Amino acid sequence: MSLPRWAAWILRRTVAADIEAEALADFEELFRERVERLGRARALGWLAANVAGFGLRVRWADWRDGRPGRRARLDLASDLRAATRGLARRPGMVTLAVLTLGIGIGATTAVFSAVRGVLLRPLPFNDADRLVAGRAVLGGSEQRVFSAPDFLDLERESTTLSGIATYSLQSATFSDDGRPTRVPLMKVSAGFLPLVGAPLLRGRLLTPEDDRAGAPKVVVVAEAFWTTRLGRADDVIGRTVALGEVPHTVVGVVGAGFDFFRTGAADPVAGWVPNAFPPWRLRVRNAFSYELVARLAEGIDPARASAETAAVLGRVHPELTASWIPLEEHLIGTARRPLSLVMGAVALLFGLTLANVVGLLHARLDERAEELAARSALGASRGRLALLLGLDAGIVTGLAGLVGLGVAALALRGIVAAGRLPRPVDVQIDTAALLWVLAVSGGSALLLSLAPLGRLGRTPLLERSREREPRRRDRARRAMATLQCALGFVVLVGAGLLGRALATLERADLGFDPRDAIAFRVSLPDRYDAEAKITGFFHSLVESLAREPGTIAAGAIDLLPFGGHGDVSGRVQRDDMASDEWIEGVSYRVVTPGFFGAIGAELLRGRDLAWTDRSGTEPVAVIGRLLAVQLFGQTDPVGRSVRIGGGDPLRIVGVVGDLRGEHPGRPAGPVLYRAHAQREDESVMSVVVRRPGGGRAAAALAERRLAELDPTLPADELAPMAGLVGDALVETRFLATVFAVFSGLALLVAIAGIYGVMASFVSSRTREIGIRVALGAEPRSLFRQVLGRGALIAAAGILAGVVPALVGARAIAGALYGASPYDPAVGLAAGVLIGLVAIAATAVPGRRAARVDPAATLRRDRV
Amino acid sequence: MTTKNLGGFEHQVLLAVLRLGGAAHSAPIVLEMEDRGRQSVSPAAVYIALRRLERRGLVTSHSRPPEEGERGRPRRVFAPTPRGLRLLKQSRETLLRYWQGLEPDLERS
Repeated sequence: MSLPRWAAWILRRTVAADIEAEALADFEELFRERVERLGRARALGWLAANVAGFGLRVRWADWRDGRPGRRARLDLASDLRAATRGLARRPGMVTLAVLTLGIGIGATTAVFSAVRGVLLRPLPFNDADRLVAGRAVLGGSEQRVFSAPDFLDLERESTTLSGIATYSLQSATFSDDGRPTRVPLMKVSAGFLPLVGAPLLRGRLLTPEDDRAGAPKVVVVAEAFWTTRLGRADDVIGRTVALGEVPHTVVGVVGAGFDFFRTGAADPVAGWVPNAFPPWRLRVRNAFSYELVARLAEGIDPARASAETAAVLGRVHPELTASWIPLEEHLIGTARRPLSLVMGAVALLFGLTLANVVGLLHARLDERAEELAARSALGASRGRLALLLGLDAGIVTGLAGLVGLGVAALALRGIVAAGRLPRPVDVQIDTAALLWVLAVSGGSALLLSLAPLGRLGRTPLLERSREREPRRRDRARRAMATLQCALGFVVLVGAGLLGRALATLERADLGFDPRDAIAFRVSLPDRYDAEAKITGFFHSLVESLAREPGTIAAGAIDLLPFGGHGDVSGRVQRDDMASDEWIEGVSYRVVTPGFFGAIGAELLRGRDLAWTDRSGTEPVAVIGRLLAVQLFGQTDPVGRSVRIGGGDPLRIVGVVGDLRGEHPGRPAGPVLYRAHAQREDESVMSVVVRRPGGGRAAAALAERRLAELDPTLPADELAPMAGLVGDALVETRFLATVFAVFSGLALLVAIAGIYGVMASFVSSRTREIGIRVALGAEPRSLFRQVLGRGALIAAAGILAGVVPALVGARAIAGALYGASPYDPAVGLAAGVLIGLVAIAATAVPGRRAARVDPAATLRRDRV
Repeated sequence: MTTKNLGGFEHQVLLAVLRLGGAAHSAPIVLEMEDRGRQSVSPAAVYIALRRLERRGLVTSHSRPPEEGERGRPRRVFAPTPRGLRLLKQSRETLLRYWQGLEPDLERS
């Protein structure tokens, strides 16, 4: 009995060929058995049920067991081994590729982290975009500070602001836990903390009652201070802490994460105390010392609020133009420029490294062409070939990603240290940055593996493997090398300009000599409550330091050049000027005798202030050269008198050279110096000591003398003057360093690019060169020809880079502080450097060309 | 698919081959399994199991020319390899270890 025809038909159609006969025989046998045992009808039913799915089930099981999973995994492992071996045969190329790409990835990650931390992450305040900061332009220069009456006027009259508050950074000695240190304190108006949305952890915030003159002293402390200095005690509310020797009652604790206006290396603010404006502050319009922060009312933009504020303050300060700028810009403003410049440079660099690695892997495809052709002939699909190529790229980028992470960690530390970023707390390699590295590595792996694949499709592989002169590819790689030279040129020009600007700024005439001078600040506590005690103290301190053998001079000033903000300025009038004639924006400084000598300023006319200029004697002043010219022209000011605001006349006893105090690249403004002993309330002074060698010995001496006078007082911010000046150059130095590093990298990349092009040029023309040598060509001239080709690439690159370099130079012009962004010497130097690099990179392939053995080449050619 | 263990169905297939004298083609294996197992067995499942066992080196197969009354079709004859036998024994011992001391409990229930 045979199978019904339909069953045989189904089996033949569905069963794999290798088991078809067997299956037919088996079904026949089983069917026969069933007919005998169960009868034909039930046998047919069984047959229908089992024949239908038989072939498909067996095929499915075969496929699932055998084909994709296990075998593919085995293939992948062996492919991976093969790829690793292949790469290991070219250690130089792989190292170059991994290092350049790794550095590119690392630099990108670091800059991304910094930019993200500083620029992209919103400020940690409620509705940060509605917060604005006050700015004012007075006498042509911008300032951030206002006076107490200004603040009160605005608070009372403004309709465009829903809240306004003042703040000013101070410091106080805290020693309750046995370690006397100065901690930063912020003096604020009662509305400040609620305005910026400080999160209250315990107790209460400041109230208007706290903010009255004569109110009990209270402080709201920061969580960090509470934890590290107050032992995170539960009973902290109501406790008394001595700040600057004045007992303050702790009324509240503000949560972590709120650290307003922390800049650079400064410690976080320890606490907030109320302004409690003293009566004289309320009277004096021109004592600008408070920064303002405000919240815009619903639906108001900063321009409208600025217009109203300018009108309100214009009534009392006709010479002052006030405006509001977004708080974010106020806090981040100065860091935005360097970071975006660095971001631009890093984007260039990354593109360059990526292009370079693509080029290197491209070159490797040549070596693998025959292998790929063989694989393709044996039936490997294009997908599989793509996988093979992708593995190369994957290994290179994987390694580069690891290198990049290390580079990023180092670079970020450098950026934070060198850049004085405004929000260092936020700047770290976080998970987002890590993801960024991975995305960048993955993206580049994809790019890299796509690049050779594009070529794979264009011509059949077997033909490609025989191809000896891939001219089109040559052209593409030459273009790439040209581009690398161009980008290298752009970055080099940037580095050159910044380096030159930095050198100029470092040599800039500051009007004083920071070398050999050290400075520190002394803040006398309130127990020095009488004028005689304050002046007596500083007199003793300065004199004891000045008398020390070896000291050239010592003196003190209320605000040190390069010592930070807090400038007090106003208007000054010559004795014979009409009552409405003024010189605006004059800085008022208070100094002790000896200061000018200590800082190394030049006394141009008259005399220094003397210890005999004290209260009760005729009020005297020394003025800066610029103010002297503004007030008196070419005539001698010594002996004349001037008036500050509407006050009593001051007799001018001397003229000194102007001191640059903000930035070495910014000229000094007009300044007037008064005698410390003729001022009553200057209890915070910076002392400057000039001793040959300066440094640690001078610092130790200063601390010793200070301790002899009052052992409870710390010498704040004790540092060499040169350090303070250097700090002011931090942005330029940061940019110059970053660009120098980048241009080193760019040169490395350009070397690799040119070398790659020329090496492949020479190796693909070995036969041609061999023939030419056989026909009598000089090895020397061959060498020169190859060099010439390399130089041509460099020259084309430089030409292509000129316009981008000019655009780039304009972009960094602001960071050059007056140095011209169009400096032909810098362009020339960059061009020469690129040329030298091109020649160096071409030398090895050139030598190879010169050493081609015609006999060997032609012999090989015959085979 | 590990090579260490024998699946339940594969175990039965191997036992059926042994019962059939240590060498058999698919149809008698199906019948033997239906006989012993008291339930119908799908030929496809037996085919799949045999091919799997062969790939794992637990059975070998060879073609044998048609016998009398087989209408000229070649048959594929399967026989356990020594490794297959070893694994079968291990499988039995494992099952017996699992069964140790359980019979009385099951008897009662």
